[in-house]
Amino acid sequence: MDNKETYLQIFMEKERVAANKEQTIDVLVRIVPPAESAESGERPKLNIGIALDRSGSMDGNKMRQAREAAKYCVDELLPTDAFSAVIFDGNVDVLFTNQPATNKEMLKRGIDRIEARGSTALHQGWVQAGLQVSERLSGGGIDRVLLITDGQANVGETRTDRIVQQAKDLAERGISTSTIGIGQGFNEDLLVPMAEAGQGNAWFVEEPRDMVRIFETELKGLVAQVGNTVTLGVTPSPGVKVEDLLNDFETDASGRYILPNLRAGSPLDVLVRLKIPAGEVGETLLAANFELRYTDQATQKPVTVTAMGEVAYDTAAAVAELRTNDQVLTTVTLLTNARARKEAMEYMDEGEFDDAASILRMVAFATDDAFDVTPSAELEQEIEAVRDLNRLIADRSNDMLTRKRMSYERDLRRKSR
Amino acid sequence: MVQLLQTLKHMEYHGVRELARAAEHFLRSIGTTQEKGTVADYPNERTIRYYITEGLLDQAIEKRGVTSIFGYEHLLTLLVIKKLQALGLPISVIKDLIAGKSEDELEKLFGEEIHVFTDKKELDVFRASIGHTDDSDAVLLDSEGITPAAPPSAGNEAKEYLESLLMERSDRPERLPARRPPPAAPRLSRGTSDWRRYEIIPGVELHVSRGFRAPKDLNWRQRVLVLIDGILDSRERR
Repeated sequence: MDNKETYLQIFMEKERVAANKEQTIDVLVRIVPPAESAESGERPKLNIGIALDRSGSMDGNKMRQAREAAKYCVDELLPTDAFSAVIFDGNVDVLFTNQPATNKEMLKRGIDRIEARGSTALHQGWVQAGLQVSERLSGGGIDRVLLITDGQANVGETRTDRIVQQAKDLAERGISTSTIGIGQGFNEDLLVPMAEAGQGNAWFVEEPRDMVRIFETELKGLVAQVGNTVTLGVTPSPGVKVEDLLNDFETDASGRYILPNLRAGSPLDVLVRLKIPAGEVGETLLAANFELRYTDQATQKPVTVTAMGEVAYDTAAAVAELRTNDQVLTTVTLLTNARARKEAMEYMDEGEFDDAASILRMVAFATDDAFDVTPSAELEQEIEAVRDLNRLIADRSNDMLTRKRMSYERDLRRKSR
Repeated sequence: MVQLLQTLKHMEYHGVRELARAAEHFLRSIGTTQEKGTVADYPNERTIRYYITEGLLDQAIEKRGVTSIFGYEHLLTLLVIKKLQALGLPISVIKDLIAGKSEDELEKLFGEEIHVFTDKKELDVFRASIGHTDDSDAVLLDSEGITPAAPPSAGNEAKEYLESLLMERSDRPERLPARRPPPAAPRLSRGTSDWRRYEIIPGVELHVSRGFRAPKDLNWRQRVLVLIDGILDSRERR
């Protein structure tokens, strides 16, 4: 995987399909960004605005860890990067206006003085952090707000749909948003969609001690970003229909799927389900055209990459002998499980815990089956995660945690992360 | 235009907000708008604070209590910054252009037509056409200077969008609706018995506290008019 350019790999469920019948096939479109971002040592300029919740509930360990994480962030920045921070409770204060990350000691001393108090003006905190970021846009780099909170928005704008829409609007204007939810009191139904709409990442910090690690992952992701404003167009040939896209990505006005940002060394798997017409043995069909478009991080130029999905027809007997592609099976399993998590959450919200639990049990069986066919570290990890969820929902000891885990795991699976 | 400025020579502005309004008032009265559509047409409190931190604008002349007092030179500098921004000059270049300029020089900069060139040849051609080689009326930028790192539209769009959210927010209650005082009690009528209402024109009333005595100072009166104008304007824009 030593490619310099992003390319698409197409995996068909099976090498050939049975002739003489209409059928549904799974096609995996793997987007493979370069293994390393651009020239060695070069990374996009970062312009990071932290919006840190300092409401009363953050008191103690959470605040201590948040401070450590923010300081870690400062340490990792280069003098050419920019840093700003706002802190919010019921009010919003600008702790650091946007400035080059040069005087790190001063920045860190300021962070050390933050203490918890008051209620949660989450929306305004986010807006103000965005304003700080907007003061010194990186130009070809990454301009991002990191919203860190453990609570629910309860002062100012509190409507989830409005805030999510605003995060989308802001991302379209060049500033992305990542959200970091700490503990169990925050609203994942705000923070996860907000980060998705905001073209950033959603992180769930179960334990305050995970904070620094999460920051590390977020920053590594930023540094590795090779493409933004990523969309995938799927054009089926005449007679072929797109039945489903298992990642459940939203589409833009022209029907293209909106994908997460591309990161060096992290392929993104998109699973498209196509309905194809009957064909003759020996015939081939160009089932669909896939067109990836994004803005290259280094050059800020648009890039287009295309690939075709081709199907070859064979006798039913010959096709029955063929093995299902391992990559396709794994991806289908992970994405189906992501959907199942959403369904289980919906049952939980209605108070139908038995139904939620039975869905999770089915997920466990399906994942075990997939692992038997094509063992991989990915599936092993998934088995672990699903086992944890089953345990959590069975003893009902912590429904908030269960729901949050499901929400975030679903988000990560959809984005191959 | 410079004559118009003379009337403002001795004005004081109490706080960033007033300074912003006065600048806006002035720019509106002379009908200036940004051509490029990439920079906000009028300065607001935030941009003024930003200019101060960036060193484009001087700190307030003095502090009275918690209020910062600004004067004519602040207003003038602000007007010049806006004018240069309208020509598409990046802040870093504007900073250099206005650094160390006297009041007279700033007035001149504000009053005169300014031409911006990114190419030395173009500048020479222009100079030849007007028959002199004086530098004072022309700005030559190297191509790096005029190309801000970020596409300007993207940068300012983000900022303007966020500022519009703040504006929207100030229309809304600070707290959840449940905590909002009953809407029947308008803000100005607190302690109703102490206030007098005057209808200035249909639709606009002035409420004056009974014990209030307006200072004779013309400066002060001008400020009140600017404030009222600002309120009416900001309502229009919503």
